[in-house]
Amino acid sequence: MHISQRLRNYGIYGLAGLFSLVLHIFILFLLFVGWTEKKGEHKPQRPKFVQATLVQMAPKADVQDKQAAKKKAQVAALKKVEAQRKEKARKQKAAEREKAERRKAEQEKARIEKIRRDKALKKKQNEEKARKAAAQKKKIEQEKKAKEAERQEELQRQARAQALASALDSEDEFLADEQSAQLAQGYQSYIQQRIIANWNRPLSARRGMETILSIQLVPTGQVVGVSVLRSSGNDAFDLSAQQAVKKVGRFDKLQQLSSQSPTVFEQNFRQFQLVFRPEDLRL
Amino acid sequence: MPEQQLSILSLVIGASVPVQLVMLILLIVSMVSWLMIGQRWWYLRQMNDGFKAFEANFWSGVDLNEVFRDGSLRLNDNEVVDGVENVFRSGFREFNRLTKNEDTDPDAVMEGTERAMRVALSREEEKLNTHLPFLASVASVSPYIGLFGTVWGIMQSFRGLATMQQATLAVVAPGISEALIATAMGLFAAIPAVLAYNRFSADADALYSRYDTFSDEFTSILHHRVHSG
Repeated sequence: MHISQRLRNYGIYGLAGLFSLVLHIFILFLLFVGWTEKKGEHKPQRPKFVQATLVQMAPKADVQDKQAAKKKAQVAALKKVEAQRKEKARKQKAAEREKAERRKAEQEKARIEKIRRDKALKKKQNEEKARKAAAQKKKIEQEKKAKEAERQEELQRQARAQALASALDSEDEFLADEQSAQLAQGYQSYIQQRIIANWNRPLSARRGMETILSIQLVPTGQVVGVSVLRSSGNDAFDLSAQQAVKKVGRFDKLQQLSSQSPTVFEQNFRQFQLVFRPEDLRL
Repeated sequence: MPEQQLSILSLVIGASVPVQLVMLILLIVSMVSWLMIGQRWWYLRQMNDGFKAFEANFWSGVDLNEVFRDGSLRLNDNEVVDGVENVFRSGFREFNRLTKNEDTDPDAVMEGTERAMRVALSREEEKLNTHLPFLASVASVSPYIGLFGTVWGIMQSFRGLATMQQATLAVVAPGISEALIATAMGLFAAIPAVLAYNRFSADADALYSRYDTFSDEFTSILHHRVHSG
């Protein structure tokens, strides 16, 4: 009698269990996937080549020139537009005046001379008014133009000052980079020497093999992690390369570097890649 | 591992066996507790709706015999008769049985009816409270289990540190990080369990007290019937 009821109860348990399972899988998925993605963002890839900054500097000047040219072109375009506007206004006014004259001529024919005389007077007055208005308009426009020109000049001056400042900054940076790169290169060759000294060439090593290792150091120079980023295809060779690094164990001189200038250490040696080849060994 | 940094997955895989065991236990506990939460939520909602519907029916002025017969019919159709209706049915059945004899003492009739209802009530209370002790245990114990895993993991990584000549943070950090996952999992299991336990036990208490009130009201109706008839 209670069979269906019991089945129903089991159904509810199953449903709740399914819900719980899906929830947990979802959370685990989020945790693992989200975590690794975030980690990827944190990896700073810094350019280590001096040339890179050199190349960067040349186009900067170009860009400035281009900017100045663009500004000039803009100013010229503005001027042209203004001139066109002025001409149009003048034409309009002329047309209006003509129309008024024609109307008055017609009226003159119809009316008596007296009235004609009055009209002529009025006409003169009107004309004068129109002339005055035109003069005022012209004045305002001229003022505007002067202001605009002033503003443009100010802007250009500011841009020039900024460009100069940024150029100075980048030069400083460039110099600092160069210095640190030189410093780093000395230590790179030191690391090479140590690794070469500790490397046992396996029999199966051939010319043209190449393994890329990823090495992690701590500021004492201790190796805390070696992993093969790209295998050469020969396991023995990969292993020998890894073992050479492990055998070195600790790059003593790096401790001195990290106490001297920690930033250079962080940028270059906290985590770096090493290309390993049988005939030569270079960073 | 092509990954440069430590991922959680690699931490979990690389953890020592006791820590992994703790994590497994916590995962299972969390899953089961969510199962219970789902089941309880559904059941209590069902009971609440059922109580409202039954009470509306009961106080609508229908004959009590009709209500009883309706329940019996539904029982025969293999449908659910649960909650407060069980209290009503057992009380009413007992009352009818006792009043069949004309010369039974009215007080004895009432006493018997009340006893039957009390039994049904306590059975319903039991149903309302199933799984709640489990949730309570998960809530209170799983942080400790997680903490145990963490302490164990940290112990191991410090033991490893003792044998190193160069003590750096990088040597102990992965161990501590992996150990802390256990605590995180413990909290992850415990927090929903605490919330669910509090919520569901409050709901169950409220429902039970409403059942109780109903049974009192029903008793007073029967009382009138016995003493007037």
